[in-house]
Amino acid sequence: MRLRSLRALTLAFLAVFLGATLATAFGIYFATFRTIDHLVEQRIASASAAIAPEGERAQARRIGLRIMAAARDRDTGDLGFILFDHGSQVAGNVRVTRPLPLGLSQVDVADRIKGLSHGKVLTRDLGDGLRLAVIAETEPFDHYNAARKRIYLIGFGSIIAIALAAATTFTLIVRRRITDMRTTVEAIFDGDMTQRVPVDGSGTAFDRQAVAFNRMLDRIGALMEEMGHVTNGVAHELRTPLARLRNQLSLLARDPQAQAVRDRIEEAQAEADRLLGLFAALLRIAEVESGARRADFAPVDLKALVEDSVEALEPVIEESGHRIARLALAEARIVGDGQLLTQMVVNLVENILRHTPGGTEIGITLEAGEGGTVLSVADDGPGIAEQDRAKALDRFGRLSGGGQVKGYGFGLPLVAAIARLHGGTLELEDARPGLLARVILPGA
Amino acid sequence: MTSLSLHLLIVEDDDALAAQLAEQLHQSGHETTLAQDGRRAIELVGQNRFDLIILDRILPKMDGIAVLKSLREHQILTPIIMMTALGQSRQKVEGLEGGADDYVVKPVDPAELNARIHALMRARGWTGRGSEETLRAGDLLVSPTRHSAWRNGKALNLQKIEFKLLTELVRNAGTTVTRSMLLERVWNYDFEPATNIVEAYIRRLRIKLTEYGDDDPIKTIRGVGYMLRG
Repeated sequence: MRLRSLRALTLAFLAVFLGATLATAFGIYFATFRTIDHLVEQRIASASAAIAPEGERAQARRIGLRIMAAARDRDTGDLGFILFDHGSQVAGNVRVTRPLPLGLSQVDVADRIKGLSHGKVLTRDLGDGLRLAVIAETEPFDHYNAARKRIYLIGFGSIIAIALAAATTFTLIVRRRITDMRTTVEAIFDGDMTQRVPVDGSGTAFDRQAVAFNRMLDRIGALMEEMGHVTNGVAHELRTPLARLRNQLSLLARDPQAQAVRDRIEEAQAEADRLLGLFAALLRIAEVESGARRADFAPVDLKALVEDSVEALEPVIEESGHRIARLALAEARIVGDGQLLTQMVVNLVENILRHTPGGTEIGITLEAGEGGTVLSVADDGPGIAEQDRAKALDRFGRLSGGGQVKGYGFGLPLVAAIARLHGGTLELEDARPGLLARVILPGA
Repeated sequence: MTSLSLHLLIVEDDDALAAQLAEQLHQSGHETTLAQDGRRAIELVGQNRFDLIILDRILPKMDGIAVLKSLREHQILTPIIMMTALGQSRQKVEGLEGGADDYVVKPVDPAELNARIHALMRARGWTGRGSEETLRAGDLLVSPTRHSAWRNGKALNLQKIEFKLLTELVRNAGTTVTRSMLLERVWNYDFEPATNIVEAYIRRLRIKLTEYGDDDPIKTIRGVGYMLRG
């Protein structure tokens, strides 16, 4: 499993922590048991050896006396001793109700030994029908094991509860910070460049991160604003004298004295109009790229929009000798800017009208699938060479490039900008023959 | 174009632009008063009676939108045309929502501005020719509710866009409607297509209007737009 999400990381940490804590708890619990068992075994073995040493011939009377002495002794007074002679208890300070097996075995409450709930017994064969059993408790007091379980449960349980609470709090804090940052980024992506990540002034690592992030946004904002001002400034500054020039030409064209050169004045006026149109397209691209129009996004019936756009263009398509050979539109609805999407469709068709000869056939399809909505506008004209396609989409590449791409205007760069504003892309491909412009938009 | 002499208030802080606009509007037969900022504009409106106000969106002291809202709040209903920067569609929406009647994009084409002034004055003074349900201009009759049009009593077979175009021309008969006014009102476009779709549709409309041998009622105003004979 790849631990990428915060939730997965936290859960993995908690699982490992829980496993380690439980393993430690059980480990200590059983190790304590084993140690006590071992010590008790050692103790009863040494007590048994003291009463009936190895190698000494066993005598019931002597052993009985030693048992009485040991039972009185402070060191061994808590031990139980029983001497069996041919299975009968002949001496000792406790009684058992069953025969005890040779070697080490367990005794418990079922053996009904007074004051003993759990213990160990060592039974030795002393020869001549004599057997010595030494019994010791493995619990310092009754029901000690249940008490110990409770202590372990409370102790280790508290550790787990504290770790759980800490991990949850940690996750919530980290998640809140990440959400703050993501909300800011999304708002900026939606065109609100004024959004910033909240800062609480605590000076923590998170806070410093937010401050650094905000400073980066300030810088980007300033650069974008500067770039926007330069582009808009240049375009507006140039448009104003151009508009004045156009107005002068317009007044001149109406002047009776200029009758003889009226056609030439009108040519100059048309040229001024073309230039004004180019600046308008540049400013439109700048407006689209600023993302400000995202604020007015609304549901759009893309099929109806393409139909209306094609209908609006029908007379110019006919007059330029082009033909719509294929129009296959599936139902498609997206959230977007209807005006810009209309301009996108109009530009794609106009691009064909302006750059292909009469007789060229146009195919328009609209498909909606899981991968999004795809608008394809194709022609069987001369197309754009593969190496020039990227330039045709770059508004500045066109200005510096020239060559084959020259004259493609800002139509395609504007289409690309509109597609980007809607989270989509514009791809240019070879329609064999001709150009295929494919706009891929998210949502269907 | 029928001549209309109006008293206009131009609110514009760029002196050169304001002077040029004043000169050109004067040539179109209007009298103009200039205000360089929003506060002065409000003062002048309080002292004089203007037929129409041309208001820049960006102004010193008091913003164009603030002037607009202040005037409308004080029940001053003088027609207002806002001047907005190109590539700032938001300004246009704000202006129209704030109570402006129309807008022009800077740098302003005086012919375009004059056409819009006429259209606005006409719309304000509209008393209706024909009934409410039909519009009439000379021998042309249009019924927007029935989506039908007639010339000399003969029904015209018009497509959707042709019909909307004729309706707009009839509504403004006798005044010039510019290309961009038609793009906005007939096609609902807030952009200018690269090809001349307006011209292409006017050509189609002319063919249909002259189908029965009648003369062409649409006059082309070169470099500006079109005018339907009133």
